[in-house]
Amino acid sequence: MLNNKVNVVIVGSGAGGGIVAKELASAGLSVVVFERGKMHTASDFNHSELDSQYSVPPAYGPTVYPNPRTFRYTDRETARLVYPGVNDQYGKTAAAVGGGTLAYGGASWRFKREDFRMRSTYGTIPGTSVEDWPISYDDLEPYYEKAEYELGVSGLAGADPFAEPRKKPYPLPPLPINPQGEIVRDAGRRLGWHPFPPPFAILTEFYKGRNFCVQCAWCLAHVCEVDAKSGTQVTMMPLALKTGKCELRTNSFVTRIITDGKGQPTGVQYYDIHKQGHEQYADLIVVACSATESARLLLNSANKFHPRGLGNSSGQVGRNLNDHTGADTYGVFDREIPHDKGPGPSMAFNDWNHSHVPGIPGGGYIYNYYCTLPIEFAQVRPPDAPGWGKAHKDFQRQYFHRYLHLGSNCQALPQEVNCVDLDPHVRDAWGMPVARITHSWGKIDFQIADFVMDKGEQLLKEAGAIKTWRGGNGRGGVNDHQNGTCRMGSDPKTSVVSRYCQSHDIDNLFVTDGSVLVTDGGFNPCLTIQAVAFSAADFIKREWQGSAWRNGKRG
Amino acid sequence: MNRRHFLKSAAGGTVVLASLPGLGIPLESSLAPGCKFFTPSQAALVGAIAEQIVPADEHPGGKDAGVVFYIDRILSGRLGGFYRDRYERGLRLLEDISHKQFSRSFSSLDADRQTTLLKALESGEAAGSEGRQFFALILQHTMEGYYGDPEHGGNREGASWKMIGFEG
Repeated sequence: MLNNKVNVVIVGSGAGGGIVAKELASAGLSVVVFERGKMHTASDFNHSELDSQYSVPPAYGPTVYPNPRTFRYTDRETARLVYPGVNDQYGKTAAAVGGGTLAYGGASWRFKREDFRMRSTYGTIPGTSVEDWPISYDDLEPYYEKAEYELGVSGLAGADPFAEPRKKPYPLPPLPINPQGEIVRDAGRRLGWHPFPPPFAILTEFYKGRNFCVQCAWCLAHVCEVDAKSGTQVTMMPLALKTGKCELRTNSFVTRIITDGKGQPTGVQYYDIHKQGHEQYADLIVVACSATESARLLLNSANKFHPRGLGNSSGQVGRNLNDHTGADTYGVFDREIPHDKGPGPSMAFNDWNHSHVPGIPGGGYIYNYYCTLPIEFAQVRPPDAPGWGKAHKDFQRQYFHRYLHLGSNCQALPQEVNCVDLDPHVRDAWGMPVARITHSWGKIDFQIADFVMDKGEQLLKEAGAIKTWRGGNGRGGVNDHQNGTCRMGSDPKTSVVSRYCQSHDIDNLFVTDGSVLVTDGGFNPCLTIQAVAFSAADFIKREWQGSAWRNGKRG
Repeated sequence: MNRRHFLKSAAGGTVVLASLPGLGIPLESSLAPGCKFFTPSQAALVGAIAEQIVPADEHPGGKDAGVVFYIDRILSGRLGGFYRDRYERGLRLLEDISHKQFSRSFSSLDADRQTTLLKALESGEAAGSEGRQFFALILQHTMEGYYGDPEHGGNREGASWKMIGFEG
């Protein structure tokens, strides 16, 4: 098959890729989007915990075969093989149209001002590579707004006293407060905290032709049964395809970016579902296939002009791989606490995010968690409670309806040694070296999570829990919020892309996913990734007018 | 095809096993009733383990709730290759320990002895990390089979959901 050259190739249809596809196709550029997975629709929804992104195999990909990675905690170890769903260290990001947004929980936060200025706010932090972003909250504010309105985000402006200023309210009212939320709200108020309904990319009214949330309990890790979650597969990609300028190639795996005789990217090499190899030529290459795979693709595309990988003159591609710690806390009660109203989260607190307590750089928000389903609950126990046997069964019976789970995503601080590189021994089905992940959290990350868990337990006790306990974090391993492998920055020596996600080295190469995050904030990163992607797309559209990129004429 | 459909279609086929030589799948003639992977003695063993992980009382235990069939589906399914060997070795390991300590098959021990053995397996005391890992695996699969959606082969008639008051 001979493919006609197009203006833009986008690798990945997730949070970032979907937005760039829609923006550029709407501006009249011809676009081909590559997606290694397939298109899932609401008809794939199943009311089953065993049929979700947390199942083995993950319901929405990647398939277990043939997508291995290798993982190690530190570079002193030999990395071991890990598989999707089978090993936690693989991560749970879906490989499908919509990427991570296909089955996400939809939390759609704006970062706080300090999240873009971690180094200026807290100084250098030993053992970390904390930096300021090259952009501020104010730079991103219009794009946050754009993302909220284009995708459909529900929330209540002004309800969080710690939130940064915003020009417009949310396009949709917040999700209804459920009984758990009421309990958490009242307990928080008694403690002098500031409860508010958290923002979600989950519709609460009809919006842009889509249905609103029916409050089922199977939300996080499931594709939505009524398309109320604003994943890019139901928002951006349909709009991109409707322009007639965008083609979506599913089940197509991009193995490398190809370059001309001068080392300038001219397209990508990919394999279709029949394992047939093809090339697709384009003026611009946009890489957006997750922090792990974007770094791997750039590294796998090394050539004699770019011996360390494309866009990697800094040596920073793959470095600073980061993900949040969790700060989950649990409580059981002697009274019934209904938790059958989905998605679950309906009250949050930002009191412990940049609260400027000494020794705690950053922090995390706290919220009542997604509805707990029976298998999940079977694995939640206080440290002293048996994990099986009669006592376990009794606990299941006694507390399934007398239970409250608080969640948190705590800011973790990036480290240069945490990285994605190419495994020297393991190759995938296409013969390409797989991603080798090296990741462990630092002492400070556990301190931050502990601090937030103290607060969570305090809240549960105030709510009347008869027993509380906390979750833990393993030593390391990146997951749905993976970020940081192609950081943005002003200095080409210490960062990979510019504030507009353009490679410092190669003018027709962009990265528009979580890879570009400099630090990860105490919030789910999706809306920030999407605001940055809108900003990058705006830049590309501006530069495209009479562009030097076009037809190979570069400045 | 999602997992639900896959499992349904897998359950529909019958004589595919003969066409899968070399995968460690026992011949069909030696299979336990309703199983596509477990032999009768393996099925009895898995049932006995599941019954200790979730013991019967006024609500069914792991065995009667169909955990064996849930696990059998995993092992005979698309991802069986990840687990078959671990189950075969793990079950053999447990049986060896049982014979060594009590000169009897695990499935014929009384509940107290079964529990004692499983605790020793879980702690690593009985068979080191291999035993510990096998117990963690079968514990996970038993909880899934007992508390998961009945359409995957376990949780017969939604017994566990009725028990905890989950509407499903």
